Amino acid sequence: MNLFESIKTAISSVLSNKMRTFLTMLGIIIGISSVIMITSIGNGIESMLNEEFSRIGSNIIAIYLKGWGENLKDTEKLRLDDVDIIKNHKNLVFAAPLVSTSGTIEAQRSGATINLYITGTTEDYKYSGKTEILYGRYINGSDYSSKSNVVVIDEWTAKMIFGNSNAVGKSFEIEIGDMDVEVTIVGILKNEDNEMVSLYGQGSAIMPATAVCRIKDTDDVIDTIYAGVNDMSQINKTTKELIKLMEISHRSESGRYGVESYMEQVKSITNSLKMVTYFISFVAAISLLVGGIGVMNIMLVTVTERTREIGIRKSLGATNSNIRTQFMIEACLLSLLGGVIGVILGNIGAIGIGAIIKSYSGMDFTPLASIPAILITVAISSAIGIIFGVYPASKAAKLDPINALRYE
Amino acid sequence: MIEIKNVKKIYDTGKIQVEALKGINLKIEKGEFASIMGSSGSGKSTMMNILGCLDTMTEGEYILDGENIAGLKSKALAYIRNKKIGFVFQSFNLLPKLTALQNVELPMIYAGTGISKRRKKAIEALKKVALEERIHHKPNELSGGQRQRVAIARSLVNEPAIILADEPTGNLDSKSSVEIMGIFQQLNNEGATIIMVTHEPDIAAYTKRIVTFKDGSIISDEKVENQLIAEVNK
Repeated sequence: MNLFESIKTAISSVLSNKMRTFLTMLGIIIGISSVIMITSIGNGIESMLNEEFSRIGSNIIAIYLKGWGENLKDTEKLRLDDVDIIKNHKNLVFAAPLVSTSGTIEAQRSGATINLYITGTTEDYKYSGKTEILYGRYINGSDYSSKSNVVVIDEWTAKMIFGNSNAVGKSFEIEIGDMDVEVTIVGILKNEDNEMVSLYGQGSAIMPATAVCRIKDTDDVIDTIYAGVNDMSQINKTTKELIKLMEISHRSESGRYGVESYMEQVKSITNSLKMVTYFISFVAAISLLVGGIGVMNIMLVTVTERTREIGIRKSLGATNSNIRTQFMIEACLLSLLGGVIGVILGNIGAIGIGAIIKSYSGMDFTPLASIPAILITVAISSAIGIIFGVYPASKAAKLDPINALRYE
Repeated sequence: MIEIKNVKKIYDTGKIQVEALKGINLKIEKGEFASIMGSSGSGKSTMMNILGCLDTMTEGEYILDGENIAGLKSKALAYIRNKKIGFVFQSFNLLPKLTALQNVELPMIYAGTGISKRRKKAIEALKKVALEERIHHKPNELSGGQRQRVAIARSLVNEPAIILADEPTGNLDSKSSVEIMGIFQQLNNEGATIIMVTHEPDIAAYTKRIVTFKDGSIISDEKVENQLIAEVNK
């Protein structure tokens, strides 16, 4: 008896009792679809985060002074000229100062108040992420050295203030603290579709760091230095060297400066996300186990019901292994079919949940069905069929033909 | 064809041992049509099960078609059941979900016969029992006599050395019974060796030889003097 005949027999047997087949598969369907759904959503979130961080750039590090407020010594504070000290380190592709402040704009056109997050930096800052200039230009070296009050603002803010996005050359007033600062727009940046800044009603502006320092009256003190590393495998060595450079230039004791890597942050977030996914998948796997026991249960019932058939087949020359194969294939078919239905339902569920998340958060969220997850779950479901089919199938194979033929 | 030497079958129920067959010697030649008779508990069913390789004997020798069956393992016995023995049962034992044709094909599936050859041989066998017009009917769409004819077609499709019929007319009315005996006689005339268990003397009268069992022994073994010939209305 070849495999093809066994499969044909198994299919007709599985189809002959559709309600029972469905109920038997239900446990496996639920288990597999949960695993697929959870891993797809987990993958979707992970890729969304990666996307979000890739705008910043995975090779970006930030150098900062540890501590806060009164504890900071003036001599240790990072200043604009520190950027020049580390800028030429051979492992860096760029270094830019970062000094931020925020202000509000009264949009004359609409009367609305817009919060503006102002980043003071240099033209090198454009290397820190995706920067797409829609109109005009980025801030440049001469803006920096002349400490001009020029800004590059995002498209959304331009629209809010002027009604259209091409506002290059126009001026507006920002209220920073108790000062009113008049700035001139030199460029407009494109907003990313899912950029959170515009989502929360906050605009962003990029200004020469020198101008921001002058407005804040901080004596060239900056918040952090952003830098891009050209070889992430050298990150630890580079970090140590940069810290050393800062310690020497500020004549400070060791341990005062820190370096944060965005890639490390992404890693730690995605790692904890993975842990959550694994844990929930594990719980879902328990329902697979229950589903497998359901398959075994129904197979035992089937074997008992078909005792006479087994007797007839044996009297016609079926060997024990013919009978065993027949029931094994039936068990595998049940669980594999359940697995396939589970994969389909899991994907549908993930797409549905993805759409809900998208409509509530406004973020561009797409659940990603991972091919390995699908393959693994389908493999698991056929393994369940094999594992939980062995006992009923051997029970069938071992039946005594005479007793089986007499069974009513 | 069949030679049985001093075959014993002892059922061990733990406390008591029941000797179902007490040293049977029997020889059945090729082309014979023999019936085994006896009341229930006489040992005839046990004999039949051993002849059909469904049961093993406790002691003795069984040579079927030149091959010694004693001591064979279950896989080898399955092979012998498939190739050398055709069964016809009292309750037909057809698979209810399969058509007549598919039922007849079953032994060939286990023999590994290819699909087209299988179909051709099954149709031939069904023609032999005059059922070629009902090959796509399921057992519940057939009368008792027709079901038994399907079972006979199934028993002969692998061209076995012997056909074993266990009370083949037990569930049939007298008209169908005669019909079935007519088919057996026709097959026997074409050279088939048939052994039939029955407890009805008027059915045994259609065979050529009657072996009678009582209490696990053969008490008589006689040639049928006036064999009845079944009139088959075609």
